[in-house]
Amino acid sequence: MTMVLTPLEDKGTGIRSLSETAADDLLRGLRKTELWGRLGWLEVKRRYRRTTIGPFWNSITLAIYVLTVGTVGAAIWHQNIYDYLPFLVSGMIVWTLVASIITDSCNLFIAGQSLFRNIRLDYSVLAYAMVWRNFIVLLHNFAVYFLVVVVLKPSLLSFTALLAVPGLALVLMNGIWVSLLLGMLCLRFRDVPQLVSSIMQIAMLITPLFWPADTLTGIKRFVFVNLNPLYHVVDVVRAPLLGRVPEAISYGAMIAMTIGGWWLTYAMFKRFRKRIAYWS
Amino acid sequence: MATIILENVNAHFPIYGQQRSLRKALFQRATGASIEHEGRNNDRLSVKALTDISLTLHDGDRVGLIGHNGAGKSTLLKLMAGIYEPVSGTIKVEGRVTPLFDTMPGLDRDDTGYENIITSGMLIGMTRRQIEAKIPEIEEFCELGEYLGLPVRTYSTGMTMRLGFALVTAMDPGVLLMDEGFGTGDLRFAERAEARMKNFVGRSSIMVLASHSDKTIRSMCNKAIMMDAGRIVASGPVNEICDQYYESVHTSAVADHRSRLGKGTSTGYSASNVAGKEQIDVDGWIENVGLADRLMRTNGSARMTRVAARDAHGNARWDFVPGETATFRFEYKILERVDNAAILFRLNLVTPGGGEVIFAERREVLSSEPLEAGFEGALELSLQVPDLMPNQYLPYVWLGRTSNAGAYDVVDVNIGLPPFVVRPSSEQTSRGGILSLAFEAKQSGTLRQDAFTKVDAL
Repeated sequence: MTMVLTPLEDKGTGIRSLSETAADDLLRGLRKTELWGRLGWLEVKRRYRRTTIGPFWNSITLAIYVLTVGTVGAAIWHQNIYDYLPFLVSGMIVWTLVASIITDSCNLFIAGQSLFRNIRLDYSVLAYAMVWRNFIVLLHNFAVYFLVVVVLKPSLLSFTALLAVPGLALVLMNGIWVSLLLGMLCLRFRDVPQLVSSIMQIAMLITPLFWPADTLTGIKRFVFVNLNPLYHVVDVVRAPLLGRVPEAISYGAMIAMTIGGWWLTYAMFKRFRKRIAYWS
Repeated sequence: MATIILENVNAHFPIYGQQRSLRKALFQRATGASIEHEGRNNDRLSVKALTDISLTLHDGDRVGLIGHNGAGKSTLLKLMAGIYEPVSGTIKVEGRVTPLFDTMPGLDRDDTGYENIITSGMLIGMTRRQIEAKIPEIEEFCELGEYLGLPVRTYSTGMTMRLGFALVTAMDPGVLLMDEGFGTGDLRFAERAEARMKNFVGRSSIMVLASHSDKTIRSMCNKAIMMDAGRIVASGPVNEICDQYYESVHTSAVADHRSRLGKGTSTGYSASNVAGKEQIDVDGWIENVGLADRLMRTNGSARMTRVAARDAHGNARWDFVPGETATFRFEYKILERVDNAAILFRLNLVTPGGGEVIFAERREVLSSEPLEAGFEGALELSLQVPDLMPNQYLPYVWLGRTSNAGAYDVVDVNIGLPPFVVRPSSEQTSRGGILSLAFEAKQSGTLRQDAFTKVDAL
């Protein structure tokens, strides 16, 4: 049935279609720094509202964890405590970031539906806000690293440590595609969040966080270290913090993951972005 | 210049993870056309929300979308806003769109009023600088004073609404898309707010308003589109379409009313279907009646299972003579945990011109505490029927959050509730109006010869 309320004069000329592309969504969303910056920051603020030290509670929990587990772990793995604690703390800082980005991704569009079902919102804004929020928490956690390193091994604070910055950039770039991909998947299939949380629990144990990668040799090392993407994700940031340059294979894996992950995510986002509102 | 063009737009909603029993209920009860089976084994369920919508709107158009619950009004608005994208067809919109479906998107009750103004403003599409420039105006209008520096959880519902209204109306509307309930339905605005609303709408280039009240649409629009079951049924000048809608909804009710007035008294309620919908039995069990309509419009967290009316002797009937006592019984059950619940019961008198004159409304809080899934409850309201004009009064039952926002279920004449009929009583004196006032009559008169002086000329 066709209905024209007023005669249509300039059919189609100069009128943009409402359905925009996935690239539009990603780029326009990225440019709204003010919006995702605020959404991410408010989320941090809300979590620690009415506390005196705010997000540093996270850091304190991490510090206690590292001190206790570190003392026990140093004995179990026969490590020197001056080497083991900096290793544990820098690994845990990155792991906290990675693990919370992955778990938060599962809830990204489920929690965001009250927004995008009522206003027009670029979906990517939610992803940027979430990654930004976890980055803010990471910065607070760095305080623990500095404390441990200054006390136990100040020599680690060298120029090599600056290599952590490009490593972190790679991690965050991967964080954004992970959040969009998992966000869509979890919105449509509500079993996925459960699956992801159980995988993450196991991943924490089999990724070299508590034990140095070199404790494994041969085929075991190949499977749990070289083939484990999470090892590379952690190590591109952790190694510089421990005064080492990350292995070339880690950078290679990260770059491959960034390209492959974004390619897959972009294809999925392009295909299913229009369905997101319907899935909620 | 703003323009909205829709060409052959279709929208379907997939339904995921429904219980088998609910599916069965949907298959059996729904009006066949709107629910479809898809997939290999016909096991995917989807609701066809809009079918082949084509329309063109230009600057200055004030368009009302009118239709029953579930006719597709809100879905159409959300498509125009770009929130849902059509399954097929194209939508072209020129000009900035302001969708007003939620007065304060992203509202956080722990943030202060000022913080929420900025967050919501940004989400609606303003920059921080633009919002900050508007703050004095918002402060002045909402009259919240120092409360703006306090967390929103300390506000009353009315204060929160005032804040949202002040914020939204401070912005540049562009193409304005509104769902009923925003500033026109549930809120009773003071004159000041009404003036501000008029001004706000006046500044918009195009306004589209969805409502099932033709009165609202007549007062705010110059064109109207009537929708039914996801299709455009008619469109044109507002009064013409609203008359048509009024006819379609109330034809049978009005005819029945006229014949009743003509015949004087009659016994029992035996009107034919209202608006062609299935009739509810005399005991008022409505749990699965018109479910597709109801689920499209509400979140389905709870359901009215029964709406019945009884007289003082316990007989089920919906027709009464003034002076009798009518008892309305509402039974409901909670399907998923809700924070609180309230029932709003309204009886509307619809005038032959089509306007709704609300004559009775009662809101009862069922629970301000959370209710768990599986809870079943009932509410009874008794009314001594006043000396009303003999007529049909259309019932409307709303079950939802105590804050008036967020309906769990809505039941009214659209799904087949019978009208509440007031029959003429023997003492009826008035021939018009709504209410007969009970005058006490006393007459007197004496002949006084001495007091009478005729003045011949001045």
